[in-house]
This record gives sequence, C-alpha cells and structure tokens, in this order.
Amino acid sequence: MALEALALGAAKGAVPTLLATLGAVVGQRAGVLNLGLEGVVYLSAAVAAALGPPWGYIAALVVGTAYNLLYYYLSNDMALNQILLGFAFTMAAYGIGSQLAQPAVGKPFEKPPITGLEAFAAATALAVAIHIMLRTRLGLAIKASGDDPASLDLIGVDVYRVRKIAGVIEGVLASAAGAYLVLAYYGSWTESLVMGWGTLAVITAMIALWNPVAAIGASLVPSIFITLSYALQSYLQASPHLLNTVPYLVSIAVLVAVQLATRKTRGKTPAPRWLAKPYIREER
Amino acid sequence: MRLVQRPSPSPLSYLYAAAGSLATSIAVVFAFTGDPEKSLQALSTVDPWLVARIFVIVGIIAAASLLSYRSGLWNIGQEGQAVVGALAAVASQNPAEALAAATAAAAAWALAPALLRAFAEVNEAVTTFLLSLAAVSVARYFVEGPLRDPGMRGFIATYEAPALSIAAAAAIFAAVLAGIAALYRTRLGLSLRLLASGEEVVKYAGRSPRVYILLALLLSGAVSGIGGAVEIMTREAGRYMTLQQVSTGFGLYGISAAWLGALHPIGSAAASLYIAWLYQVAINLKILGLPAQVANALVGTAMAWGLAGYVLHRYRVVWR
Amino acid sequence: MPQQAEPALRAVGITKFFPGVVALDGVDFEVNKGEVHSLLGENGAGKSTLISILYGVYAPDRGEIYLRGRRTTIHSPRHAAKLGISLISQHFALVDSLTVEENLRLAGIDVEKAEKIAEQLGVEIDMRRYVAELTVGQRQRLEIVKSLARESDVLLMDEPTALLSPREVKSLLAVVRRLAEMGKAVVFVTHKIREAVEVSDRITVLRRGKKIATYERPFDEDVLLAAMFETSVKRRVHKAGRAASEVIYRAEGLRGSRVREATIELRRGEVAAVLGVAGNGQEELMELLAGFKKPTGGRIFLDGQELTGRPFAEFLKKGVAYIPEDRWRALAKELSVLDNFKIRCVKNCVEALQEAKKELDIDFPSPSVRVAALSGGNQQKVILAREVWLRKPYVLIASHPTRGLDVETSEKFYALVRSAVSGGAVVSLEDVEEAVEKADRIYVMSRGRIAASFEPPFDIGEIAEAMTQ
Repeated sequence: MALEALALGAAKGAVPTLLATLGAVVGQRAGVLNLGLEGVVYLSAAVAAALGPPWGYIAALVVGTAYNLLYYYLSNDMALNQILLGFAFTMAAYGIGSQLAQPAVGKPFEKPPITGLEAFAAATALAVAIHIMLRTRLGLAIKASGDDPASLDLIGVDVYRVRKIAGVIEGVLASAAGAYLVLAYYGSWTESLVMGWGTLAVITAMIALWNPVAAIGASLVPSIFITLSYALQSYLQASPHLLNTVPYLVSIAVLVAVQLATRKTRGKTPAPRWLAKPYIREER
Repeated sequence: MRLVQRPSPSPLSYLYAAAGSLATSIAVVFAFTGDPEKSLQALSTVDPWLVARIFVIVGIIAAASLLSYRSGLWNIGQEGQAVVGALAAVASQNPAEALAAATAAAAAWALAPALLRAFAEVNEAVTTFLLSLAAVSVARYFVEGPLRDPGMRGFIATYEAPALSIAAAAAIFAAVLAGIAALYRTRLGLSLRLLASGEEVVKYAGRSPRVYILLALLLSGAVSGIGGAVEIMTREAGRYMTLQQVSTGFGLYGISAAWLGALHPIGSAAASLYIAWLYQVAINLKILGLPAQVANALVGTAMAWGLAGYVLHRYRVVWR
Repeated sequence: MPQQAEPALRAVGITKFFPGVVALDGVDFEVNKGEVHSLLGENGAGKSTLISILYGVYAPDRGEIYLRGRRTTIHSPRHAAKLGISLISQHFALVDSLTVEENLRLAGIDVEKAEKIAEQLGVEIDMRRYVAELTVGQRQRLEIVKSLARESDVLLMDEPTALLSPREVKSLLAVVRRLAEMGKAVVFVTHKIREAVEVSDRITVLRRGKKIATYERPFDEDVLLAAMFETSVKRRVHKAGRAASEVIYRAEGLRGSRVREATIELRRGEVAAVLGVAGNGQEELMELLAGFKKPTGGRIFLDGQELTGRPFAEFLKKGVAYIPEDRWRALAKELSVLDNFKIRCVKNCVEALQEAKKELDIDFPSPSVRVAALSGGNQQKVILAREVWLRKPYVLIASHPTRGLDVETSEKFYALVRSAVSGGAVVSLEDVEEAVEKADRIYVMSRGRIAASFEPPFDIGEIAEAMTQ
C-alpha cells in the first residue's frame, strides 16, 4: 500500500522532470548547454501561479518559450557564453518570477483531476514523439548542430536557425513543466517551491545520454528520491533540510556513475561534441 | 547578422557594455517609478558606508569568479561557497580564526565538483550550481541544529560571527587582488591561465591538467568563502544567520562584476563598485515601496552586458 | 574556349582583413560555364579565403560579386547553396556522426537521385555507413555526387588533391575535366603548378593576397613559378650521404588505436621523414614517438635508455621536442605571444622573443598581442621559434611542420633543424617531393604500419607506389 502510493507519487513527480528533461535533451543535442532552463521553469511556473488556471497554462507556455528563445538568440547568434548567460537568465527569472507571483502565495489552486500515472503516460508518449522527431530531417539537423556545426553550415543549413528551433521546442517543454509543477503537482506557490527542477533536468538529460526514451527512466531518479525523502521524513529523525539535499546529491551521483560507465566505450559516446561551445562562422 | 573578427581587439567594448548596462538600469528604474523625480531620487541617493561594504564583498566574490573563469572553468556556485564560508565564520571565535575557517570550509565545499571535473569529466557548472542550492538547505540545518544560539530564546538563529571593520575588509580585498595579480605572473599562474585554452595545452607544457583544474576551482571556492565570511562579519548588526536569511545573492553580483570587469583584477574591482551602486538603487526602490527583486534582474542584465563586452572585444556585429 | 557574354561567377575588388593580416587585397576573379579556372598560389596567398567568400563563409570587407551578371550579396553558405554554388573543401560538409544516407537527407538531396548520379560517375557509395568510417577519397567523391545532385552550376574545389594518394589524384583530375564538359563552372584551388596546368582552361595566380595575373592556355610553367614567388626561392636539396652514425632513438613495434605496428630508427644528425596518405595513422605515430600519448604496445629507447610509458614531461626533460599537427595543442589561444613563448622560456623571455622575431621573421605588432590574432603562418613560426630555435632539442618529432608556411620559411625551418637540433628529427610530411629533397631516410606508412623504408638515392615512383599499397 505504502509502496503503491510511493510509485504513484514518483510518477506524478517525474512528469515535470521528464518534460524539462526532454527539452534539455533537444537543446543539448543541438549543442547548447542551457542552464537558463532553471529560469524558464521558474518563470513559467510563476506566470502560471500569478494567473491561475486556465489562462495560467497558456501564458506560462508563451512567456517561458519567449524567454528561452531570447536566451538562444543571445547565446548563439550573439555568441555570449552559454553557461554564464544561462546563470544570469536563471537569476533574473528568480527575481522577476518571485515578484510576479507574490500575490499567489498561500492561495491553493484547484488541481486538475488527473492521476500521476495518466500524466506520466502522456509525458511518455511525448518522449516517444521526440524520439521520432530526432529521426526526421530537422532531428538530423539538430544532432549535426551539436556534433559538427561547421559542417552543417557548409551543407547549407542555417545553424543558428536550427538552434533557435531547438530552443523553441525546449522552451515549450520546460514551460509546460513549470506550469504543471504549480497548477497540477503542488497546487500552490511559494517562492522557493519550484527552485532546482530545471537544473535537475539539465543533469537528467546527461544521465539519459541525450536519448529521449532513456529520459523516461532518468527522470524517475530525482523524483523517486524526492518522494522517498518526503515519505521518510515521518519515520526518520533526520532534519528535513538535509533530506532536501538528497535528490541533488543522488542525481549528481548517478550522473557520475553513468559518465564513468560510458567512459570505457570512449569514442562511441553520444555526447554532443560541441556542447557549450559557441559556433562563430568566421572563427579561424 | 554575423560576427566578424576585428583586425585588433577593441578595449572600448567593455565601456560600451558598461554604458549599455547603465542605460538599461536607468530605463528600468524609470519604468518602475514612472516619474523623473522619483527616478532621480532612486538613482542618486547613496549611503557611502553601505556602498563601500557591498563593494568589498562583491569585489572579493568577483575575484573568486575570475580565478575560475581565467582558467576556463565555469564555477557558478560562489553563492553556496559563500554561505559555507559564512557558516564557518559563525562557528568561530575571532576574526582571524573566522577567515581561516571560512577559506578552508569553502574550499572543501568546492572540492567535490573539482574532483568530479578533474577525474570524471563531470561538468563543473552543473555541480557547483546544484551544490549552491544544497548549501542553502545545509545552512538551514545548521541554523536549527548545531549552530543555533540557545540564548536567542524563541528566535531561531545562529551564534553571532566575530565583527570585522570595513577597513579591515578592504585590506583583505586588496590583499586578494594583489595576490591574484602576483600569482598570474608566476609560472604556476601561467599554467593556470593555460588551462583556459584547453587541457591539451597544459599537457603539452609538460604539466598535469588535473592538478590545475583542482587548484583553480579550490582557489575560487576558497576566495568565495572569504567573501561570505566578510559579508556576515561586516554587518552593523545581526551578524547571524536565520532560516529565512541564508543566501544573500552576492554570488550573482560577484560573477557579474567579474565579466563586466573583463575578467581582470582591476577591471572587476571597478565593476564591483558599479554593481554595489546597483545594489543601492535596488534598496532605494524598496524604500520607495517598489519591488526590490528587480535588483536580481538588473544585475542579471549587467552580467549579460559584460558577456557581450567579452564577445565585442574580438568581434564586431555586421548586419547584412 | 569561346568567350561568353556573362561569366557564371565574377568577383570584383574583393578585400578581406583578418586580425593582423590583409588576407585579400582588391582581387578580381571570374569563371565561365564549362571551364576549369584554377586559383594558384602558395600557402597564405589567400586562395582559401577567396573561396570562402564566394561561398558565404566569410563576408568580404570590400568588393562585389556578380552571379550570371547580376550583382549578388552572398549572406551565408545556405544562401550560396540556394544560388547554385557548391563548395568541396578540405573541411568536408559531412557530419561524421551521421550515416551517408542521413547526410544526404540533411542536405535536402533525394537519395535515389544521388544513387543514380553515383552510378553514372562510376562511384560506389554505401548508404548505411557512417561518414566517420569513409576514407578521404570516398568522402570527396560523395561531395561531388552531392553537388551534382543539387544541380549546382558553380563548383568551388579547395585544394581537393591535398589529402589524396597519387592514384586518386589522377582519377579526380579526370572527374574535374568531365564536370567542365557537363557545363559546370569549376574553380580549382591548388598550390601545385603541374596539377593546375593539367586540369585548367585558365589560371589566376595569387600572391600574398594580391592577384598577379590570369594566364590562358598554353601555359608556361616557368612563368607561373615566377608569378607565384616574389623572389624566386630555390628549394635547396639536402645532400645526404654522411657516413652512417649511431642510432640515438629507436621505437620498436609501437601500437596505438590507429597505429598497428611501427618501428622507427633515428641516427645522429639524421632527418627522417614519415610519408603516407592522410588518415593512415601518421598523426598518432608522431604522438607516440614524442611521448605525448602512451602506446598500447611496443618500446621506445633514447640513447639506449627505455622511455616507454613515461610521462610527456620526462620526454621533454630528455630533450625531446614535439610539434603537433593541431596548432592549438601547442599554442594557448587565449594568451599573448609572450605568454605562449614562456611555456618553454624561463628567463630573459622578452629579449629572447625579440631575437626570435628577427631571426625567423615573425610578424607581430607587440609581444602582448593575443597569439590567435596572428596569421596561421606566423603562429607556426612562433611554435618553431619556441620548440626548435629556443629549446635546441636533442630529438625533434614534428607533424607537418611546414604546412601553412611559404617556401622561403620552410627552407628556413630545415636550415634551423640542421643547425639547432643536436640529435636528429622525425618529420611527418604530406608532400613526397619535399621529403625526397630534405630527408636522409623515408618511412612510408600505410594502414597503421610502416609499409616500407627508403634510403637515398630516392625513387619517387617507388615511394608513391608504397604509399598506395
């Protein structure tokens, strides 16, 4: 019985992680290590909280995607440092988002009547859809943009445009994660409630080795431990604050394990070779 | 639109970046207040002591940041490292002990990402950032548990950190800057800077890249810790941590100053002064009853401008 | 060739600045339908830059481009492709991590059509193989098929013969002629006079970013030579034939990921050359010989002392110097010329650098300028100055040390090696003639093995034959 509740909880909690992870998979495949994803999740969640259902969903998607697209424009077309710009975008989103959603603090929303399993099944279908998308011409271009943008450019495909398309896909998925977190998972908003989810997705995308189907499994990693730490809180005397750090530490540990395991198959690792490096056409 | 390499780098780019940031900040302030008089008030009211204190804190964390970035390593966990440094200061009896403990504790906090980067090639930006979030939780645990001051009765807070004067803090800041400038002139410093061009170059120079990755990240973490300790020790009152008041946001401020200052010790010090002024503007807005959270957004855009300055240093934008 | 009303592609007054250099200075160039027009010049003459501008990779700082008589701005490679221009460069427009079929789809090419064209050209293409597994020649043929399937009418070929075996060069030149007969306008970039003469209808010579002249058939090789080189630098032939001295360096049965078995001996005072078609393991062999990479098998001896598996720092201490093929392994992109010099220099570095600047004629405005801002040739000179002139190594292991250098500087390099290297040098080269002129011994590498070794007098035919075994 307890185990069943745990599984349901984990599935429900895995949905936002999976959505954001799929976004990160697409973005990182295109060669962009977007740490601003955290900010996109946060900002869209704040917008969703500020407006509430049903308009909150739509507004969250629009604002979050636009914010992500701006990041992609600055970090690719303008070649600003991907990592640091992502950090700036996250910090700015914390500031703007917490301000926007201030009035929503302490006001619960009516959650939509979906179970964790239903939501997780829908997200899984989306993962399969992304997997198929990666085999189309657009998907090939996204892969090439992360592996060898110079060749892609010479082929006659606009690298910057491909990356912006990837950025829109990533933005929609991450914003959906943000809206879901506030309106369907927690059903309420506090300033620090949705912090960390986006960054976890950046890691789970790496754990999944940039494969959308593997992302389904990877997204369960932090979720299981989040649910577990809530469940254990009542049994253990451990500080709730320390339990809060468990999902982060576990995710890092799993990433290290995956990275060390794939090291032996060096050369065949699917890591995008240009991840986090700017592509500048005239660079010699 | 495309980026075209300049025949020779343009040092003016950082001035443009600073001007761009200044213009953005003024525009945002004006947009929020909606009237010129209030705007002027928000922009011109300055408390010299406050600005001096923030300048020193931001400057130290900017120095910590450039120690990482000049080696091509992307530590963005200064915030967490500073929190750990502040905790260590709280646990100490006198200023000297506090600074030593903060340095050691923050370096230890940075050790895990450094080891993971050096030996398992795990991206240090992701790990340092996550550990920053974890640091806040860990600090709360200390506030409630081991470091809670029972003398505060119903109020949950830590012991008080030893006090440090702003003059002393400024001296520490100067020492950090001088130390970095001196370090970068040595062969050790050269190897640290080589790292920014890739691990292979360090190996080619006949040295071990791993050693320098560890060193750069540990130094960066340690100096962040000093920044955190100085922050809590120079407060006029309330030199303790509470559950709500753990992180202070100076990680972002320091990183922004480092980039606006061209990742140069003197430049980042100058930029820190500007960032400290932005902090003052945010406080002024708060006094006017306007959202103080705008500060994060302002500093975030300042950082984006700094990053743009770095690109425009070598490239010019051609629209066609 | 009857002159047509409008050239397929015409460039007027093209000028391009790079940090520290004027890469192109008011160059005019045109190519007609159905002709092969060669761009001839030595390294650093600006040929590749011009081609890159015609394909939209670089934006020109000044100048105009006319396509079929109409003034056109080429915004990007994508735009160039749309305008019917194809580029076949040394950097292939192929993504290694995708299969041949995926690459064709990515380029928006109908796979069946490509198969048909390949059949017509008599080229075999395996659609399911990953590009990473193809040889350089196969990639190049795939590129030609791609440009035909796209029905491009202007074909830009940037040093297409550079990485091919002598046999493959022959068949490529035949294909190029056929392309012109099909009515394509072909721009053929090369630094080899003989190839240009064999394949071209017209030849334009570039020197240091300036156009010297355009020549028509029949060509006079001496005139072309004089046009290519300002001061006629004669390549000096090193006279080998000193008495055999003792072996100072010996690598036995070395193995790595691409090197399968290599034994190399170096005698005192000797320059040994390693030749081979690109991608046969030479680059890795040099890494192993220099101790930069640890071999998976085999042994290395220096003066009878075993060094196998020792760290690179120890090789350095024993007087081994290494010049890698990738310049950015030896130079720190982000740092100044002086800081880069200090990687090996310990004291009086500013003075030493100034002296090296004079000695090797390195062109940089000040020691504090970023090394990435220098031209490729000057970057290479900085490496040579530091590793050979400054260090005076005992054993030099150099991978393509003269690539990107003009003839005068590469002459200087060999003179420097003879005077400054006290033990001996192993140099990997791509040009058979250069090896024959400069080396005392030649090793030929094929499929990861030392396939043959030669001593003077050298027979070029025999060596070329061994390279394609």
